[in-house]
Amino acid sequence: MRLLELKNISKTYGSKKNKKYTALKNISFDVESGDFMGIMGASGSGKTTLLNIIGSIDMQTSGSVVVNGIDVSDLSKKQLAAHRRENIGFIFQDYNLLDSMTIEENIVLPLALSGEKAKVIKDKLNALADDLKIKDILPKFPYEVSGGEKQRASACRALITEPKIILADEPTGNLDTASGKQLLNMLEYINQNYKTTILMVTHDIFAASYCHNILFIKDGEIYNHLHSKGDRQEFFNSILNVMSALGGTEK
Amino acid sequence: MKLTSLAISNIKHNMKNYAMYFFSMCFSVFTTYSFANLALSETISESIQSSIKYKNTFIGFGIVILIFVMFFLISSNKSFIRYRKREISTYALFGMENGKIGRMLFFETLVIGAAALIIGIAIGIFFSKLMVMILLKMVLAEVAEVSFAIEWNAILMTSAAYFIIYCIMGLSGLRVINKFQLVDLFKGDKIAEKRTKGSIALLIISAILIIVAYRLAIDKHSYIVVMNMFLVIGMTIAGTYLFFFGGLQKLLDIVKKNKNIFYKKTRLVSVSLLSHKAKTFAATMGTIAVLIASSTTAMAFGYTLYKSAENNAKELNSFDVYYYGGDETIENEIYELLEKNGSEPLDFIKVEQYVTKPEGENFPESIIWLSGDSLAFSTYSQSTFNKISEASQDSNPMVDVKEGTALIAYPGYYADFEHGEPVLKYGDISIKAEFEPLPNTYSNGSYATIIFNDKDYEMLNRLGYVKSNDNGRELSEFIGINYKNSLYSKEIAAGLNEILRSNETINGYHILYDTYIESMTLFGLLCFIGYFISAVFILMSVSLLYFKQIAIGTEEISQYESLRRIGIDKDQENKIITNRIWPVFFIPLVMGLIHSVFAMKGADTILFSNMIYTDGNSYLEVLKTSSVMYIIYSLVYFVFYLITKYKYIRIVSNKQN
Ligand SMILES: Nc1ncnc2c1ncn2[C@@H]1O[C@H](COP(=O)(O)OP(=O)(O)OP(=O)(O)O)[C@@H](O)[C@H]1O
Ligand SMILES: [Mg+2]
Repeated sequence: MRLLELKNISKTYGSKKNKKYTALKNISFDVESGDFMGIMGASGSGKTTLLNIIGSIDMQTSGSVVVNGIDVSDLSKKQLAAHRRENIGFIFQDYNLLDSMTIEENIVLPLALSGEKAKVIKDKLNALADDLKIKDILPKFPYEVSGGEKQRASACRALITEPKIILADEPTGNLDTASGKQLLNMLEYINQNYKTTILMVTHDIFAASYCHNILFIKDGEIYNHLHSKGDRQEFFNSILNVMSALGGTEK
Repeated sequence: MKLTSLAISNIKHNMKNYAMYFFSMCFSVFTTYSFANLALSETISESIQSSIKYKNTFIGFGIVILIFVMFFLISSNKSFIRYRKREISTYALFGMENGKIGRMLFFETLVIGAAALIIGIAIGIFFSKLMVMILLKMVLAEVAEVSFAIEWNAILMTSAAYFIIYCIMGLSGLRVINKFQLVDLFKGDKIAEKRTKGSIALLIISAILIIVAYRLAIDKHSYIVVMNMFLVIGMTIAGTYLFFFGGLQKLLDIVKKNKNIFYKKTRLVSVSLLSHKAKTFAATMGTIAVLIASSTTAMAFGYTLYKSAENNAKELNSFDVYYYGGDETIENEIYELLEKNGSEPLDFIKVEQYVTKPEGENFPESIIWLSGDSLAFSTYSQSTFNKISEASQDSNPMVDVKEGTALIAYPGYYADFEHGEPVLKYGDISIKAEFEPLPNTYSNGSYATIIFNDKDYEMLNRLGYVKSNDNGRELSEFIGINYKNSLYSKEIAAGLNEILRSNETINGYHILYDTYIESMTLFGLLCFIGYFISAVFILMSVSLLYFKQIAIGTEEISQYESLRRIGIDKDQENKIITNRIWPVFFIPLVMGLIHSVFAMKGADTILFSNMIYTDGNSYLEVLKTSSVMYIIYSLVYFVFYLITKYKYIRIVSNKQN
């Protein structure tokens, strides 16, 4: 089933004529439901911009984003906020947790904002926290836990609304290898057990090898779309090949 | 050289942020100048002829204002520096030393301060004539031609006072800067506050302190209220601060524990944000509550005093003019005087004076103490007393004294005595007596008046216990007159004084007009000062909140950014902001107002209940007049709340600068 459809997305920054900068040019692709897609590319190639447009945090200059058959640009501001909260879960490189709230409060925030009943919220939280093994850190504040724990909490928050899509922008970017791996396993688990579609921006080839397919972006355009044949090691190597062809030197 | 031009450009750049600061500074300068001007004004010293030491009153309160202004400016300045952390840290990053930054800020303070001083004094001079006229009007003094005058001494005093304040303020700012570390400056936006759960002990202690204070304040015995006054004030202030330093957090924590309440849409966010900052706000909120309590009480107190002064004059004094002694020529002179001035007599009464000296049992100490051994009471039969009452100003009640009993007219603190029933003894005759809060103005100087049933009176008279002389001094007659326009004719009052003062046959007299003017001068003065101080307080308190709020707002920008990324719409954001801001403003307001309501109850017991004679409850009257002031205060406060909220919204939506 086709969950997400991007048609001719372009994004230009800056309104003044001479200072215009085109970050994305005519990007089109589809994402199937249940997919785990990676997005890679050099710094400044427009990955975050793309992800923000899919997540309707940012607006494209032209083209359309269709989620589940609905064109996002048709939604009102209010509907857009609700759409963002309910259909899309975000995981940010900088976690985006609120300092003033405990991990638990941070996780339940999207549900509370949607007006869910306390009872339902508690049940969902307990089930999810058990499943993702983060029960211990629930009563702590963000500044009291490690980066890895923060990112897992952030994933938990992304998942609590049972969104159709999770968008992750360099989720392992601030983590060491061990906690990065822990998070990737968690994402894989989410993708398999909750059937959640995941789009993940990453610079890390090891992280990318968890994905089913990878979109390479260069200077705001699609450069390549690589599909895994099932074997992680083999996929890792083919990613490496594309990367060196791209001229990127990461890892 | 660069430093000064940098400072100037900073001021230009921060113009909007300085606006509030500048406004409250100008107003304090204006108030100080006005007070100094009023204290020194020639017009006023000529117009206010009463004995009231208004000069000292103005200077005294002026100093009180200066002290508060100083604390306010220091604290605002600190918040302002905190608010500008990011800007300051940029200077530091570019290698400017702390000392240099401090000097630059100090210079900014001086420039802004000098501007405020000039503008404040200019406004003061501009309005000085108006101020003089308002004051004279309020104190009912004869308003002569008020000339426009610039008081150079007032300008000098004000400038000197503020120069000192600015220096102290600048130095405290230097200290803040010197304590800054570059790292701290950059952490500014994301200071991880210590987790605060409040303390149940503090909540309970603060509740107990406040409740006990309230209980003491509403005691029906005025001597208990007077005795405990400072205790009550101390306990209330302590209770208030403790509440904000731990109790409020605890309440928020209780809300947080109850997920059914806490997980209600945006409430989750606003309660968390508030509880996160509760500790930072504690001192400010406590101070605001105390300031609000004292200023609303000052306003309500002054206004009630002023409002009740006219009634009070009429009701505490049974006759517009009364005197002892004299003869018919005097009466005629008075009548002529009234006629000449377009007035006419309304009531006239003339009675013989008698005294009695019973042995008293169960008498209040104060009466025995006041009257010494002699214990001479002025005395009337019931019918004479009622005749006087009938002739007197409207509200004096008639009495009905049963045979074998007596009433002791003793205004004031009668309720405080918890003695047995007082008994009057004449040889083997004993008469049960009762204290009544009746006016005692026609008692010719004795401390209380005894009223007997006509039959008892006659018997005592026959037995020689009621005497027309006191220790050989023959008592004179009592004459009471009410006349038209008594409170509005200065000429009649002057004429009466003339007639009664110079006559040797007069054993004492009292003219209502004089008392009235005296009390209006005093109450008008208190009211005037009360309004001014309250205005300064309200401005200071809201500016304090404003600065604290915007300083903290800059630290909360990231929180709102995170929220927007998660997905909140504009409505939700506005709701969060509103619920985040209003408690900071309105919890202290409500608390302060409740304090004031109880304070006014105490004031009623001590003072107003003796001033305002009503059929029902004098406290209701007090509350009615006070609520006018409460409403005015709350409205002004609300406007500042809106301004602050507007500014906060601009900050957290990053529209700022
Ligand atoms: N708000 C903005 N205004 C102007 N230009 C922007 C804005 N945001 C991004 N850009 C530009 O658009 C281009 C793409 O930025 P984007 O953040 O999408 O890159 P990225 O691929 O995520 O890079 P990185 O790997 O470093 O995160 C960059 O050249 C950037 O300078
Ligand atoms: Mg990026």
